Amino acid sequence: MDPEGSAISKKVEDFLNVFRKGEEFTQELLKENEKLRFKIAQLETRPQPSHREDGGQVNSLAEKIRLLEEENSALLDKFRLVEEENKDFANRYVEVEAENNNLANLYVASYQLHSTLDFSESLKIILEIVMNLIGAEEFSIVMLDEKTNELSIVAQEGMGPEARSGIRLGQGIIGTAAKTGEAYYRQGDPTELSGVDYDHPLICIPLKIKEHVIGAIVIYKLLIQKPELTGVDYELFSMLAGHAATALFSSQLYSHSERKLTTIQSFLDLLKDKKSSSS
Amino acid sequence: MLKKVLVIDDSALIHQMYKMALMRYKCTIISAKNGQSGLDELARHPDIDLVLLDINMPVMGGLEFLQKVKELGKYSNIPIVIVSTEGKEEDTKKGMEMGAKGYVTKPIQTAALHAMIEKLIPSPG
Repeated sequence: MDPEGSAISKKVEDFLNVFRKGEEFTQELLKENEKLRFKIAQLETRPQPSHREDGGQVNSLAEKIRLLEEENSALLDKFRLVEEENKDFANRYVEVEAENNNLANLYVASYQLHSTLDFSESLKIILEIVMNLIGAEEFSIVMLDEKTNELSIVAQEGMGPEARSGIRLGQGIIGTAAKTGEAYYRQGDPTELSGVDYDHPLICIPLKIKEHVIGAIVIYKLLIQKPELTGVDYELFSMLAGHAATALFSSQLYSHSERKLTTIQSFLDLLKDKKSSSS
Repeated sequence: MLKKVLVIDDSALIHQMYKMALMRYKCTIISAKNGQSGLDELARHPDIDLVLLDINMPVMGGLEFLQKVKELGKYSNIPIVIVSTEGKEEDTKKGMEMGAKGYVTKPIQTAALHAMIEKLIPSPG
């Protein structure tokens, strides 16, 4: 074959190859087309949801939402209630804690009051209670002399030289409180004071054994950081009225009996000495 | 764990009051009647966590105690709290300058005292 003839046959061959590839591609497209048609037919035969069914689903979902919202608001209400309860418990805890402290202080005070039979020690303890537990700055303890019917200061704290001793029973606020046995609390704000007036105390607590008054605790001024009397202060006052009275009375009695015992003992010793010297 | 608190005060009432008030806060109390016995207790109990110190006491007062502690140096890690009386701010101020870490005022409020102890020696956890 001449060179021109072989070039033509190569071109024909190339053309035929392109034609064959085109045929294969067309076949593939046809197959793909067939598959798509099948799928369309499948989709067309599937049952479509009706509008009514759509509405039903929406309604049931809305109902579910409503129920969940109700549940949510009920839970919120419960949460609020629990929170309120928690606050209540916290407040009660603080109250119980304060009550515990108060009881502890009352216990300490009464325990200390009865821990001695020494009169001056008892007075010191009462001063400490009034100063440290009540928070008084100027105050005194007065005792009644039943022979003269006069109240005189036996211990005091922070009081100036103008403090008056020798108050007659029934005279003024202190004398009246001691006579009637009724505690005196001045009305109004205890911090509202231009100066201390020893004739007008803030508080006067008669010291009583049953109904028998033996003296009084008289408070003229509270510490500056103590703006008002609290519940426990009144408890302390009522405890002091009885316990301080018995503590003072028994320590006084004890020291009297001790003195008498010493006198009798010395007298007996003297008698013994005389007896032995005469024999 | 129990906190060891040294109370230096000449009043037996105060000691008992602290004991009652602080035992509920896991504190154990060591008592001293004045600054001198306070120093003795510090030497005897090296594990003391805190000192509550009154100012006016016989034998050795609070300010003198603070001075001694400062001079000794070895107790500088123990916080000291002054128990002060209103109207005696000068003493409190002096005490703070001499190394006290805080103060509480009389009449003692247990909650305030506990808060002060918690601030200076926090409980673990």
